[in-house]
Amino acid sequence: MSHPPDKKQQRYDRQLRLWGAHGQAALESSHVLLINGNATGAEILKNLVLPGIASFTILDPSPVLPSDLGSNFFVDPEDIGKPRAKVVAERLREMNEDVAGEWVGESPSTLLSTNPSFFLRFHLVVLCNHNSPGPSSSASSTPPVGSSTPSPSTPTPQSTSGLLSEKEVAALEDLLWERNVPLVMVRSYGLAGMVRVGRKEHRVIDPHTPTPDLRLQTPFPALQALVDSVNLDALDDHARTGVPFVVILCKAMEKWKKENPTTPPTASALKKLVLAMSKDLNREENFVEASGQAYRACGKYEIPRTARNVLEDPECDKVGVVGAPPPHPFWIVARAVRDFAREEGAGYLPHPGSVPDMKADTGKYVELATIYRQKHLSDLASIRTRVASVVSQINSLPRSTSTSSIDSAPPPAVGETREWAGSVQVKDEEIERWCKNASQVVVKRYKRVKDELGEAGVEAGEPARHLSQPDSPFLHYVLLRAVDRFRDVHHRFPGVLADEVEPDIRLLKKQVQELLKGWGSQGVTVPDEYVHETVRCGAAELHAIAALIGGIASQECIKLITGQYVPVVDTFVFDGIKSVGGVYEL
Amino acid sequence: MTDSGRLAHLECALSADLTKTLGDASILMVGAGGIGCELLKTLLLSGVKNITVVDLDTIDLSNLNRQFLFQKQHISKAKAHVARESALRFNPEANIVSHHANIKDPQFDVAFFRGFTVVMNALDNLEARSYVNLMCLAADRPLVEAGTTGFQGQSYVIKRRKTACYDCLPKVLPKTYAVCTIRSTPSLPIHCIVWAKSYLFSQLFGPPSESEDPVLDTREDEGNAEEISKLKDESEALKAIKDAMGTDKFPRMVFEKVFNTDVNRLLSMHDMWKSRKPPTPLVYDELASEEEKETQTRKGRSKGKGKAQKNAPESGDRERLEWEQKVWSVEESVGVFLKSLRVLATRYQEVRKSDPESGLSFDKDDDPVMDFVAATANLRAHVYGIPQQCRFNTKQMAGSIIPAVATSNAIIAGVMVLHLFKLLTPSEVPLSGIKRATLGTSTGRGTILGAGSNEAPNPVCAVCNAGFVVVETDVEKAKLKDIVEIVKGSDHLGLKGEVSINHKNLLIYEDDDLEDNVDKTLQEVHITHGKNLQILVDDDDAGVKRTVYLFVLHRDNLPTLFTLSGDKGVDIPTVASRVAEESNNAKRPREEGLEERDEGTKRLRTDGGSHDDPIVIDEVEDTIELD
Repeated sequence: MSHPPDKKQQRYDRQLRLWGAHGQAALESSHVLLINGNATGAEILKNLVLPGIASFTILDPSPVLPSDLGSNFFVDPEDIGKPRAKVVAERLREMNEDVAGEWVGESPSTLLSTNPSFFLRFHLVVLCNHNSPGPSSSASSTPPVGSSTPSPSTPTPQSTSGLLSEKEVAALEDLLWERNVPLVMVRSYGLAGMVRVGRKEHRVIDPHTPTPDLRLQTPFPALQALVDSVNLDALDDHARTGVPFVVILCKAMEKWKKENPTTPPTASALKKLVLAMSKDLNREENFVEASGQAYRACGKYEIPRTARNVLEDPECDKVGVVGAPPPHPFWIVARAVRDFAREEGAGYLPHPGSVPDMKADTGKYVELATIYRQKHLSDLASIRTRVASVVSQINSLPRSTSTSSIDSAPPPAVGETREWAGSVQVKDEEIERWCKNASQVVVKRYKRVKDELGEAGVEAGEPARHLSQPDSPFLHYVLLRAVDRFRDVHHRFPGVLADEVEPDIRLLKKQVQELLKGWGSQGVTVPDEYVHETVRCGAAELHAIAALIGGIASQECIKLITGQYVPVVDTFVFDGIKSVGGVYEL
Repeated sequence: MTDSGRLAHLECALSADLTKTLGDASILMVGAGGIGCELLKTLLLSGVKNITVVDLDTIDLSNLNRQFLFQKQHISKAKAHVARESALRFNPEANIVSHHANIKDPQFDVAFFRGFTVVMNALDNLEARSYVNLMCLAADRPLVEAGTTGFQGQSYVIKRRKTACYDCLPKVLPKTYAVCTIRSTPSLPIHCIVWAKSYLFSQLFGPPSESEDPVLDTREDEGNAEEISKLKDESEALKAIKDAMGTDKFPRMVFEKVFNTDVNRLLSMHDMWKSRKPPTPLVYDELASEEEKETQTRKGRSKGKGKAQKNAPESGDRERLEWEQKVWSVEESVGVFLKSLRVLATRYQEVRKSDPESGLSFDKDDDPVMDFVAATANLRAHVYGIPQQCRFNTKQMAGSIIPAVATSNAIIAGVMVLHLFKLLTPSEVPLSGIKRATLGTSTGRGTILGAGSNEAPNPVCAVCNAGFVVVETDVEKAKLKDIVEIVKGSDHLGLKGEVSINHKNLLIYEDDDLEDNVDKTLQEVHITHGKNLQILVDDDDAGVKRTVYLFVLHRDNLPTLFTLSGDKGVDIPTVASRVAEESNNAKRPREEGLEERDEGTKRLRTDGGSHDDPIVIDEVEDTIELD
């Protein structure tokens, strides 16, 4: 059978079910930069090319080395000596003809000083700051070859060419930070790995954590009318089995209030009451269902904490203030939702419009679903009006000379395109998505690399707290940081020279101690066997770890690009010996 | 590139010993799909050189978003072979064997499984996982099990009698629906979709022999006997309409029957609608487009798909995506319904020309079939006042689609290979050190990849709490009584108690019952090479029961009638009779309704029940009941 014109829809069918047309559009308009096409980097791009990003660029001055063959799927024996960026880019392009791929064979460190604007063309930057030195790295010295935009080669130690020092990483982040471009740092090192996400402000409208919003505490008028229209005592046995649990719970609450006007029910008391209201629990499955949902009707309704944090964020207050830079559409809607909740919403967010499945008669279920849907539409209309009035107010303000507080001169698109040259606009689609997910919205602000790398970068108590647990994956965070410092000092990774293993263990231990001391974490140690293991692996990049860590990193990239699901905050560390992962906010 | 160069980093980070063990190991990979592609790549780059890949599937366009060893030019080719070729391009020295076949085929017998060091599952269904689990128990080979759904996944190691097996924990069975809910009183969109797919589509276009879809629970109880008999009449009437297939009036006839005549008939049963909202019949003349109506008045055969469907964009991904994701109006659904009926009728008649016993089967990725199901489900939902669904959602529900992406498959395949490192570490890592890995959707600070303890075997598991014995014999000579001798004879297993022998949950022998069968050869009771027998031995005196799985390997010209390998009698675990009864009752899936009707005829089944190739043995027909 020939393939119908909707081939893209079919090709992406299985993933559209995770992030929908909105997420796919964001992916299809995003440009990703990978710094270093090592095994981990190639795996990450593979997992982004397959679902269909717009384009990728690989920045890597390294030629294909023998050590790449053992770990990088995208290089062949005959590629040795060719530019790695070129080889990997060409192989990756074969996997999806809808994705464009480029390569630049320059040193990232040089580019950072000579042409920093290069880094501003992307929506996401992935930094794989590691090269497996391979067994013969100390002997051979392969000069960087072939490059699409050649530059004078800077003398860098062979085993670390293409890598950025801690300071350079901080400088790269400086560039990206102001444009709110995410920087994802990834390492696979021996049997350990790490993924660190950084971004000034990451906004998620749809984290895919829906919770039903039933308004059981304070039924709105249409819902109350439906509840009032049902008289449980007058219904015949059959009709009773078709009453939705929402109605049963509202009835139970009314009954409780009548009997206990001053004490609100506990969940278990209300559950008991619901069960007692049933004539026959074997037949009336809807009453059993209602008893299981009784907790939803108890306690006072509160806007979920993460959503409340968004609404109380200072960015909300800045919306519409004279002299403030034009706000991001997200914050305009957030402000409208906040004001709605404070005013006509009476403490509630706009209703999402959905109702969970329940045991109910078709007619009653449809009636209930319609009532919630109507409520959603009327709330949505109210938010639209508020947004429109804020937008026209902003656009009537005198133009502030500064641009936006965030995302100034943003790259073309990551799902939410907009023109800063003209007036502020909010897409109706964005208002709708906001209203459907208002109780779930999340904003994350990440820590800066330079703050983390500084002396006081990690709070004194943190290492001690994590390291007090035996075999904590945090040990590898400390070790990888120590490895980077080792490299900055000795211009090579520990353990790569066969006859230097013992001295390297001592030197790495020293770096570990200094790190811990710098954090004010004296008294905590990293067990010797971990230091030995880290040196023994000789900075090898193992494919199994590269695939695993690369998989996790690309999954976080997809979350960052689509603005759906919540990315890790902020560092994931994996210990492949114990097969344990940990997430640390540093 | 020499091996030593390629492996240097492995020797460095793992150890020279482990690197050698990996190179010498022989791995069976079952499945070459989402996890399989990743696993094959990761194994090859981890020093594994001998890999056998088995997969029965062919490549589909919807695989390409994650199965990176496949490209457009490979569509419709065998996954196992293409995966092998693509991987060899990278590493030509690897020794990869590919089979485009079902792992349940008799060629993959216990001896085949014994030929591997470790078995790794990269499967997508419970049934095949359960089967490979059993074979690994029989062959006593460690199994690395894995699965992914969307951003989630897991992987763990199964080792006989050391860890829980795949079937130690009950699985969620596919949901079934009462026939009356589907046929007369739907209340949810899924009821309408099941009706469209499992009833109307299979009635109109399915092969004539095809029994009703197993999701329809057609058991009668005292309450619905009358209704079921009426529904049978309804099906008869539909068959009459099928005779008009290929004529211009066929789409209209189907429409009027299912959305008007049948609905009016249901409406006449006033009692049904006392407390339910009654359905609303649809009127063809009010809803069909003028163009459609003209088609009906023309003489002669329809031109098939010649009619333009103005609602379905023929070009443009974006328009098509929007069209699939919006809820159609009733008129649009009617248009799609009539058009797809015409296309499917033409196709049905084509396939029947070559084979009158054949028909069309449901395939979620076959557009006209999916159009028909989506339009039918929506029209039915409209009749019953149930919310309608867009085609995209209908496809997910009708096709039981599991979301899938490259990322989680890559992560899980990486975990599987780390499990393999530990299984093959020469100093032997204790199984407690091989954690069960769970990949979750991270929510900020939540752990992405968690490690849990491996579960201990379930002491009442009907699958792994058993003996595993392999018999090599000539199935044309060996008789059932020889099997009984193997079980009871003191030279062999020497088990005491009452013996019953089952194959695929069918009872074929029991002491004091079915004894006529003892003189039949294995061949005569359809026990051939690669099949296995589940033998229950009930030792009343000791108050214990034993289960033995006996795997049959056919051999010609053996010097003796049979040779045995595997567990000895003393190795076979026991279960206290009382506990065995309770666990049997607990295991029985509620919807399946398998009761013990009388003392003599037990109908046994393990969970994860299969519906394929049931065996009918003429001689003992009266005691065999199929699902």
